[in-house]
Amino acid sequence: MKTAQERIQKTARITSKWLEEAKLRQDNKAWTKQSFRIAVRILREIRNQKESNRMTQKKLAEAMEVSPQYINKVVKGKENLTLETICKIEQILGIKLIEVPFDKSSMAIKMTEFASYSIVKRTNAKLITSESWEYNHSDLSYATGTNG
Amino acid sequence: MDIVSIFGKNLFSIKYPGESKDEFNRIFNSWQDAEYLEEFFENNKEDINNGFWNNISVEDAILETYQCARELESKLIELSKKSEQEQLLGLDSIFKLLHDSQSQIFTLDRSKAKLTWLRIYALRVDKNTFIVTGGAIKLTQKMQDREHTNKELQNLETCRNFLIEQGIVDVEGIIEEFEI
Repeated sequence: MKTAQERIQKTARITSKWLEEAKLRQDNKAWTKQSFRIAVRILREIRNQKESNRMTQKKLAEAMEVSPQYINKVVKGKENLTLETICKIEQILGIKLIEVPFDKSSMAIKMTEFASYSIVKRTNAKLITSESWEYNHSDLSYATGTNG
Repeated sequence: MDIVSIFGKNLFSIKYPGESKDEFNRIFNSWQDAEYLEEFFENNKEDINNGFWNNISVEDAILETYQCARELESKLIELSKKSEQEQLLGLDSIFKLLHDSQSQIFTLDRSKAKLTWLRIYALRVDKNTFIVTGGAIKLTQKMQDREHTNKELQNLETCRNFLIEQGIVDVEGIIEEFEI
């Protein structure tokens, strides 16, 4: 006689996509976390501006000249946003979404990393040059790489 | 209504008719969907502003939910890599009896996985098999207090009946439980 567990296993012919999707979320957790935070900020601002200027996702899409579907993906926090897109949203909603901190602690960590930064031609992953340059910001001076 | 496998031999989920995802997958997607969470906490603002949740803001509630969902999901991914025995032990430690006062394991228990206000509801069959019936963000003391959590109670009953009707579990030994 079969046990309930065996009967359930027999009935469950399909496997959920959860594990596959969860692993993908885990692999991309650094940028998706930022995307999520940005989405929350956008959603709250749309809600804030709903009464004052009738802001909606659709209106934002129109102002950005993108599809409403794209904006919906953005506000779900699942879009790998470009700086161009972020800047457009910032301008339209009149808010700040990202800022680059220039504090001493983060500079200190990066100094050694950037000391001999190499430029790699991405198309064939061939090392074509290696250089560094000095950048002065207030009392800090550090070397970093550039690709133009 | 279908039963789908999540991973291993001990964890399953219900997929309701008309739904594109099974419940387990649906809740983890919802809990990491900024739009869904913003609307949910905006609609349930009073429940997070009543002192019990330290008057947390809607923004913080969304971020807290997202963080907790990620932690729970990571824990479950790790569990999926383990042996069958370890998976069962892990599931046993995650899922708790729906009625905290109960201590005995019944043939068909209503169980819940708990992390802050996140809840995953499941039926436990023969002590070793969990069938997820749904999940919710539970902000109030009783499940009956809010429509979305009350619906989960109904789902547990619907799924329990489904399992009996399909002959998957025996009627004998099933203990009826009710939320107080």
